[in-house]
Amino acid sequence: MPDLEAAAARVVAGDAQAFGDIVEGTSQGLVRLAARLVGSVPDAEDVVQDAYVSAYRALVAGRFDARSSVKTWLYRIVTHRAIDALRSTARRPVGTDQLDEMAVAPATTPEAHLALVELSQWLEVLPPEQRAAVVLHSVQGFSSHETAEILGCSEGAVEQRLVRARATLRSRRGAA
Amino acid sequence: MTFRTEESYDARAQRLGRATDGLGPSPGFHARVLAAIAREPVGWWSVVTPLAGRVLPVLVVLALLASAAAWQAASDTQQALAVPYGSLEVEW
Repeated sequence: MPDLEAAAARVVAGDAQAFGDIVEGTSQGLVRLAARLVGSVPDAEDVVQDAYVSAYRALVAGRFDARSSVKTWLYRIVTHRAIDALRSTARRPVGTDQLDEMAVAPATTPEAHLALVELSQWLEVLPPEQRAAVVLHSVQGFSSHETAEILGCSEGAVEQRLVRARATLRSRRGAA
Repeated sequence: MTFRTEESYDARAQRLGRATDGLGPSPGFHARVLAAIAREPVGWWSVVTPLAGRVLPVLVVLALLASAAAWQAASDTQQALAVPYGSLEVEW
């Protein structure tokens, strides 16, 4: 695992190649998180690529204030990009091309792909913010504090989202 | 699909978390990202543009303050002109 803080400092100093170390050290976890949020690996890769470009621009312009670690900062950018993607997906109807794309998603194993489909179907009734809280806290295993830091809200707001999400999922299961 | 109606929220979340641990980027993803980064403009413009975002609000505030000061000065002048001076009797 490359030293992300050192790599970020090198990018700030003008070494664009150092960004490759950041990508190498974080892409696995970020694509996994984004896939759990948006429900497909190709969409997750788009989200993470956009997030990397935003992060690079911020580093070059000196807008990374290092108040959190580089890893947490990237998780925050990816999560918010994924929430935006979920919102825009909710507004437009799913076309057949998207269904085809999901069917051929290059997940690492067929079992992982099936589990991703199940996760996506389980959480599809939740608003994007609640879905993000469930994925970060209950699926990824982050603490309430870490989840709040990534989502940019209070721990109380995280707990509230989780309570509402659980209630929605429970009522859906009861209705099934 | 292994949906189990008796499975609790926590158990299901943890099971799906473990089952999706193997997810990751496709083989060409790193190269794709680095190519996108390489297309990013470098040089003074990439530094000036974000700085403009910070300087612009300050300039707007300064412009508003200058407008207020100019309006106040014009108002004082109008007031001074409106004050009646002692009339001058002109004797013929």
